[in-house]
Amino acid sequence: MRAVCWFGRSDVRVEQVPDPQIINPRDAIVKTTLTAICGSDLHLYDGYIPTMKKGDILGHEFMGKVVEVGPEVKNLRPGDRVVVPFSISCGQCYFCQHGMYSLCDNSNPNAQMAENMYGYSPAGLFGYSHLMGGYAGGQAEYVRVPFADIGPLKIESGLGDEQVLFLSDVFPTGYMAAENGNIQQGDTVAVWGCGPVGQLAIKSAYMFGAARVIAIDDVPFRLEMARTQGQAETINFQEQRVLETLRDMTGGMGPDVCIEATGMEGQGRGLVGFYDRVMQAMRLETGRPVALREAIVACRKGGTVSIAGVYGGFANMIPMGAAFNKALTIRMGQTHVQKYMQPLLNRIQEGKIDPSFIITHRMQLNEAPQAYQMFRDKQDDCVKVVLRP
Amino acid sequence: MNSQSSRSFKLNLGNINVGDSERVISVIGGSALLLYGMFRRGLRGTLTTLLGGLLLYRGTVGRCPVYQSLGVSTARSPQELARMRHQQGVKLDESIVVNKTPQEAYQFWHDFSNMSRFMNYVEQVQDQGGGRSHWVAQVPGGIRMEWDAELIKDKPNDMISWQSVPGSDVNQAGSVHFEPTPDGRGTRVELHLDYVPPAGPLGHAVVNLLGPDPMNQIKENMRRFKELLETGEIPTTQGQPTGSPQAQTTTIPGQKGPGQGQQGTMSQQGQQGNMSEQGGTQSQQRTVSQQGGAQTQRTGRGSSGRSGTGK
Repeated sequence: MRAVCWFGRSDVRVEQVPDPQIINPRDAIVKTTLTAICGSDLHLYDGYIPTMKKGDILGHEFMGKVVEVGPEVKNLRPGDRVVVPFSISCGQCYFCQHGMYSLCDNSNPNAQMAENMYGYSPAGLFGYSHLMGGYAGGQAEYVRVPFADIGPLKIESGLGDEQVLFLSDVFPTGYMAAENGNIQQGDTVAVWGCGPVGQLAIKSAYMFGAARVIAIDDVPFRLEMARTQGQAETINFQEQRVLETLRDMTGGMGPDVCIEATGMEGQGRGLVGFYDRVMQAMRLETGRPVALREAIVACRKGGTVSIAGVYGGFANMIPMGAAFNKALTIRMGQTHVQKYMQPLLNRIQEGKIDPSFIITHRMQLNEAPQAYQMFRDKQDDCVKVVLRP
Repeated sequence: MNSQSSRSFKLNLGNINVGDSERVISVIGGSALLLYGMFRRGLRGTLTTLLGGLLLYRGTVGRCPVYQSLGVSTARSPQELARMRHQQGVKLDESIVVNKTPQEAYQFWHDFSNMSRFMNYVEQVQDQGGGRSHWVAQVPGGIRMEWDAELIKDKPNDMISWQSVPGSDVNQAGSVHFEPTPDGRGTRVELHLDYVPPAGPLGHAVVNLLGPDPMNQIKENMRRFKELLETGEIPTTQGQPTGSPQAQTTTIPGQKGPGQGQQGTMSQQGQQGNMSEQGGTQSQQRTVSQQGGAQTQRTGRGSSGRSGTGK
C-alpha cells in the first residue's frame, strides 16, 4: 500500500509499504477514504518532535471502511463506515473509565520512555513519534486500529466524509479547548490562532454561551474565515498591539477566557522572539510559547487560560508571576476524543454545524509532500488540506 | 591416598568435604606446623612438615583425603551454599495499581500459566498440580533454562508465595500481595522476587534473565501484567508497516511481543534481541526486516473482509 512517511526535516515521501495486519485481538483494519494533515503534523515536519524514525508513517486524522476485525472486536463488522479518534484508548483503565481517554494507561507500548520524561505516560497516538507509541499513522491506504471496540465511531447517516472527518481530531480539540475555558453565558473569549483548531474553538465558544469571540492571527485569509464563518472579531497582531487592543475591546478588563490554539511554533517578534529561536536551535527550549505568554498576560484577573497545545517538552519564560498574581486558572490537555465524538456528531447531524468549512485544499495522497510544504508555509490561503488515497 | 584426590588440584565445588571454618583452621595450623617442622631436624621434623603440608592442602583445596576415605564431610552442600548466599543474590520489588478487584488480580496471578504472557523471557509455565509448576525460560543468546517451583503460601485474594525447588538451575523465591487501594480505585499488586544466581555458566544465563537493569525489567513486567489484566492484550507495534525499504533497527524499550489470540503474519525475520542501556532507560535492539518486495493487495477485500487471522 502507499503511505506518507517521515524521512527528516521537511522530508515526507509517499512510499510503497506492506499492508498492516491484525496483531492484537482487539485490532481492526480500516481502509482509508479520507485523511487530513494536522497543524501538529507540522511540528513533525519541522523536526521539533524527538523520537521519530525514518520511515515512520504519519497522520492521525482519518476515516474509512472497516475491512477486517480481530476476534475480540464485537461491535464492528467489515463494511462499517468509521471515523477513528487520533488517540488510542483501552476503555478499561481508570482514566478511560473516567472519560479521560487521552490519558489511557495501557495503549503506549513505549510507556517507559514517556514516563521518564513526563512522570506517567499518556495514551498512544497515531503517527506521532515513538514517545507516543510509534503507531503507524492514518495518511495511508490502510491503517491498523488498536482497541477498535473503543475508538472508532460508526457513521450510519448519509453525511459526507468531509462533514465527519474532523470528529477524529480538530473538532473535539477545539470543543474541548472551549470547554476547558469554563465559558459562562455572556463571556468574552479571545482565541490565539485561526488555524483549523482555532476556527472550531471559535464556533465552540459560541456554543458554550460566549457573547463575543475575538480571534488573533496574522494571516489575512484565516482572519477573514474567522470573521465570515466564525462570526468573530479579529486582531491582526502584525498590525495591532494585541494586549492594548484586547484591553480596549473589553472595557479595560481583559477577556474572561483565553484560548491558545497555536502550539509550540508561535511567531515570536522582538527580543523574546529572538531568544526563543536561539533557545530552540540550541535545543534548550522545545517550544516557542509566544501565544501562551501573551494569553497569560492578556487574560483578565481571575480568568481562565485554555491551552489546546501541542506541547512536547519544555517552555521557557512563562510569566508565572502574572498567572499567580492574577489568580488565573490554566487548563490544558490532549483531547479526550472518544468522549466528544458522539455528541458532536449529533450536532452535525442536526445541521447545527458543518466543520467542512475549514477545508481549503483537496488533494491526492500522492501529493502529500507538496501539501505539507504548502500548509507549513501558509501558501495559497491554505487552512486545511484533506487527502484522498 | 585416593587416586582421584592425588590427581586434581582444581577447586571443585562438588568435591569439597571440608567446612569453611575448618578449612581456615587447617590452613593456619598447617602453615604453622610446616614452618615449625622445616626448622627441626630428624624424623620429628619431617613428620611435622608432612602433617603441616597435609593440613595446608586440605584447607586450601577443601578436600581431605582422610574424610573422603571415611565418607565424611563437614562442608555445606551446594544447595545450602546457594541459600546462604541469599544475601548476595538479587532482590527485586515493584508494585502497581490495577483497575481490578483483589479477587480478579489474585485469580489472574494464581494461574501461573499467565506468567509467560507478560514476564520477559519466560516462555512457558506449566501447572503440575499439588502446588508445583514447571518454568521454561529462553534467554537471548540461546540459553534455555528450566526449573520447578512450589507454592509455599496461598491466601486467596491476599497473597501468594513460591520458591524454586532445591537443586534447580535457578534459585528463585517470590511473593505477590494484593491489597485494595484506600480510595477504592482498584488493587495494589506488590511483587517481591529473590534471585540467587548459581555459579558456572548458568549463573551467567540467570544474569541475562534479569538483564543489566533488573529493577527496570521487573517494572516492565508489572506494566505488562496490568495491561494484560485490564485490557486482555499488551500494546505493541511489532509487525506494523513502515516506510523504510531495507531492514531497519528500531529502538523500543522492553516490548514483550504481540498479544494473545490472533497473531497476524508479522513481516519480521531474524529477530534478535540484546540488552543495552541508554541513560537510565532500558532498551532492546531488534532487527526488524520488512518484506520490501512482496506487497499484499487488499483491493479484493471490500465488504467481504474476513475476521480473525491475518494474512
